[in-house]
Parts: sequence; C-alpha cells; structure tokens
Amino acid sequence: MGLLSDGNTKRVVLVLSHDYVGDDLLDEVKKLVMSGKARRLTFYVISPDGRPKYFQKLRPMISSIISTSFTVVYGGSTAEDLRRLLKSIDGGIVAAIIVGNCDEFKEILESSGINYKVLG
Amino acid sequence: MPDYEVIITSDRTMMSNHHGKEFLGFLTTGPALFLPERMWLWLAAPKVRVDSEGRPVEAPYGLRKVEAKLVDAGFKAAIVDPDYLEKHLGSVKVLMVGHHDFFAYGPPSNEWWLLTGKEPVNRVSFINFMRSDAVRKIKGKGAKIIVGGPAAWQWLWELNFWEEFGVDTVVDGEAEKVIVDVVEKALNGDPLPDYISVGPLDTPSVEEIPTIKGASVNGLVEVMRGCPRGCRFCSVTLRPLRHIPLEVIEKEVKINLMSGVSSVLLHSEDVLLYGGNGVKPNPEPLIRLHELVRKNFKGPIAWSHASLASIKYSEDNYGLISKLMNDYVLNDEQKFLGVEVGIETGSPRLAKSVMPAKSLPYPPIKWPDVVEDAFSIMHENYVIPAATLIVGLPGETPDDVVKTAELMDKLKYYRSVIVPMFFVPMGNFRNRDWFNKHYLTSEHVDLMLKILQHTLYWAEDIMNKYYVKEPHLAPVRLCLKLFLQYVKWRASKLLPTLTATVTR
Repeated sequence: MGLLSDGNTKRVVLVLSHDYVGDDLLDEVKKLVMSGKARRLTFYVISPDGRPKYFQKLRPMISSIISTSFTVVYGGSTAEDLRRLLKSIDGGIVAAIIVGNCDEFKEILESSGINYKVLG
Repeated sequence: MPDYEVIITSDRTMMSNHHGKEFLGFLTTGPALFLPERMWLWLAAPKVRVDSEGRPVEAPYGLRKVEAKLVDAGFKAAIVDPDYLEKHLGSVKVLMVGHHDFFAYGPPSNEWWLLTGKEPVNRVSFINFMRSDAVRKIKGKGAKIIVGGPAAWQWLWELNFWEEFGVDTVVDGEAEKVIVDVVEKALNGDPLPDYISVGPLDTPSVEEIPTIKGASVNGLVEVMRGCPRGCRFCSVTLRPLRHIPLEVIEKEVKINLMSGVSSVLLHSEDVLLYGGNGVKPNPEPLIRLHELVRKNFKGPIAWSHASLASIKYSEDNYGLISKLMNDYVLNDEQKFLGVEVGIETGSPRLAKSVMPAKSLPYPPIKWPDVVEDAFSIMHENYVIPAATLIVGLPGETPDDVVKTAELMDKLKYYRSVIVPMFFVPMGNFRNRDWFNKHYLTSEHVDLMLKILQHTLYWAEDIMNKYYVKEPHLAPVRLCLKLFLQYVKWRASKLLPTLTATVTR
C-alpha cells in the first residue's frame, strides 16, 4: 500500500489563523513525532491564507520533521470547509491543533467529538 | 506516435549533457557573465539529441528513475525534451518536472547570485520554462503539475511561483515508493496532497529501485544510495545506505553505451565505499566494479563523489587508488579521472561538531592531515578533484576560518579546483539560518581570495593539459579560456566591494 493510502498514517487537523506567527506549532508537532505515535502523518490545513500561501506558516514545521514521512493537504479556509473536511476524513484523527483566535472552529471540533489544543 | 499521458521533463539547464563534460554543468549555477545569456546557455547546457517524439537520447538520471518506475507500473510515461512538449499536448494529463536547483537556492548557485547580484542561469531558465507557451497550454487543458527532486524544498520559499505556475503537488525525497500512487490519483482525478515528504523509513529497498529504460546524462549510473557519514549539513545522509548489485549496474552501463553515450560516471556520495564495510573501503568490490566497466567500455570513467578519508584509507592500506587508476582507469583515451570531494572546513573543532564521521576511520582532530594526504594521493594518481568548502557553517568562529585558510596554503601544490559555498540549511541543519554576504568577515574574504587564486591557477593548468581537448570542442575551450580571464579581471574589481561589505 502506498504512502498516500497507508492505514498507519496518523491524521492531524491544523487550523491556522491569519495573524499567527510563532514556534509553538512546531513544538507541538515535534512532541507528536517524538511520541512515536506516528510513522507517517497527514496534516489537513484550514487557513484563510489560501493555497499555497499557507505554507509560509508551515515552513519551520516542515523543516523540522526529518524522520517521518508526511503529506500536507489543504482543506479550505472557513468553518464550513472544516465541517466538510471532518466529514470526508474517515476517522483516525490523532490531534487537532488550533493556532490563534478561531472560536467558531473550536465549536465544530467539539461537536465532532475531536479533542483539540489551542496555541498562540 | 504513442499517447503519453505522463510527461516527465525539466528546463534546458538540466536537459543537457553539457558537451559531454559534467563539470561544465556547473556553469548553469552562475549568472551569464561576459557573454549574452543565450551564448552562456550554449556553453553550459547545449541542446541534446532527441528522437522523432522529442524524447532525449540522454536525460537526467533522477528523471530516468521516475520514468522507469512509472513505465514498470504500466503508465504511458516518457521523458520529453522541454522544446518538444507541444507535440504531446493532445495526450498529456500529468506533467512532472524535476530539478536539482529549481530557484538557485542550492550551493553554489546562491553564492554566485549573492556575490554578483545577478540571477543564476538555472533559475532564469527554469522560470522561463514554466512560463513557456507549452507549459501554460498543458496547465490550461487541466493537466496536473507535479514537481520534485532534491530541490523540492525550494518551493516552500517561492509560493508566488507555486501559485503562478499552478503546481498541484510537490514531492520531496526519494520518490520510488510514492510516485505511482500520486500519478494514479492524478490520472483518476482524485484530490492530490499539496506536499509529500518521504522520510527515511519510506525510502525504497534496492529491489524497489527500478533499472533505467533510456540513457542518462553522461552515462551516470548509481552504484550506491545514501551515505553513512552523517554530516549534519547534508540531506543525503538522512537516507539509509544501499549498494546497487553489480548486475544492475552493468545493465545500466550497457543501456547507456547502446544509446551512444561515450562515458561512464559512477555515482555515489562516496564511490570508494561501494561494497565497503561501513566507512572503510573494501578493495574487492571496487575492483570488480571497475573491471565490469572496463569489460564493457574503453572510454572515460569518472566518479561523481568520493570522500577524502576513503581516498587516504584505501591508498594507505591497499594501494587501491594507484591500482584502480593504473589497472582500470588510465589508458590511451583517458588521462585523468574527475571527482567531487568535500573539504568543508580546515578546522578540526568545527569538523568534530558538524561532520564528526567525515574523517572516519581517522579522528576529526586529524581532518586537515586527512585532506592534505588525500590531495597528495590524488595529485600523484591523476585524480582531479573539484572540492567544496562551506563558508558560514553553524557554530563557525573566525579561528575556524583561519584554520581553513591555513589548510588552503598546504593544498596549493595539488592539482584541484576548489569552490567555496555559502552555507545552505539542509539535512539536520534544515531549520538553521542561511549564510549571506552580510555575515562575511575579513577572515572569510582572505579565505575566498586564497581559494580563487588556487582555482584560477589550477584551472588553467588543467585546461592546458587535460580538459576539453577534443577538436570539435575548440569553441567551448576558447570560451572557457576567455571566461577564466574574465574571472581574474572581475575578481580584482570585486575585492574592494567585498572589503567594503566587511568593513560596514
């Protein structure tokens, strides 16, 4: 089975606010990788910056993940996009990380029964 | 004409055999100096022979591996020269673009860019290619664009171009285990990830690396993948070490020769570790490797890279460099062997900190001696190295730079081209700061002047005695000689600018 469709891939939802700048996302992802929970990761990104501009905020994170394979998928920018994304992901979400002030996204994650961490 | 759904390509600076002289390819990493850009491109990266479908006779080895993987998986895939993409407009659904330095952020491109203030030719050529009518038409008809190769990370720093060119997916890392899946999704119209990073656990095994289907540029054949030395600034070292079996190497050598390629370039991060025990060269597999090449071919052989520690160890313990050169490499058609080597620093302290295993089996404290001994061995055996030095390694102090300059003084007697490179954050140092000219100190300037003097002296000597001697390459030779004169003149002009930068 290929890297993109492997059952052992752990899924992480990242919700990034427009004004976020900082390294705490990097620290959080490092913890996740170091925990040994994931051999492969898929990051689903919700960001108002649009595609591919949202990578500006992910550069430090991408530069730091050396030992683990990962993919990055853009999920859109709005609360509705997050709702659609969660429906389309077939379970297996190991973490949801909200970076910045994004209250409406918290409610969606809570209503989907997904634990999340807020940074920034 | 077959309907290729998947076209693999690159811009002209990659899709060239550089007149059969691999080292000339480095000219693509600089801006066009003293010549019009078109002329510079002809000098560094002339067009290659193609067949009636626009498929190049020789193509970059990395693209050949991707092509082979896709063809083996049953896709209608082919490498097509950038000038012939429009021939395949009707059939192409996926355009795959590979490069080893898309935007000239890699060494030494970024250094020439910073020092001259002019964009290197490889960057200009790549951007022009992506803006060409052919690529726009392909994107316009809805084809997916997938980019990858050792410089994939550079797209993270060029998001405007990523958007402008409509790139769908960036693949970073060894692609064999992921590329079939990605292309299948692209052809099926399934959503694609934006970025894929292949970690060390997902690198292919030897059995999963396919044999190339067509010839590679200048007969390059991979004999080993990965590196055991673990230098912290290098991305290759993150990958596990794999030795390619001799029968696969022979098959690829024969494919190249049958296509009319007239050289064999053995590729590895350290050719002398082929079949070796960790970091210690093992004579028998190396002799068998060279025997195998000579059995098939009498023309020029080159090594892509070798480590200085391996050169010293194999000669001191087995007389192996002399044996390989005298018994297998040198003949009426070949008077020298070219290879890239890494000095990186002359400071034992810094060597211990950033590349503790590069000197093995000798201790890092002996690194300057290892370098000098290896240069002496190469000089005596007609191995001509193109050596790199890294300026601005993390943790570097002025004293480290002085030690490197002292090592340069010791190396001046040995035939070699030495190129200083500004530190680029890669490998375990991926998250470090870039070095730029504002960090230059007077010690750096002194060091770079020593290197320049060394390289100009020996480049002329090498040109006069060994390099580009073929009669049909007389115009290339003339341009190179003029270029050397230009560099001498330009360096004298550049010195005050550098000194002023340092003073500020």
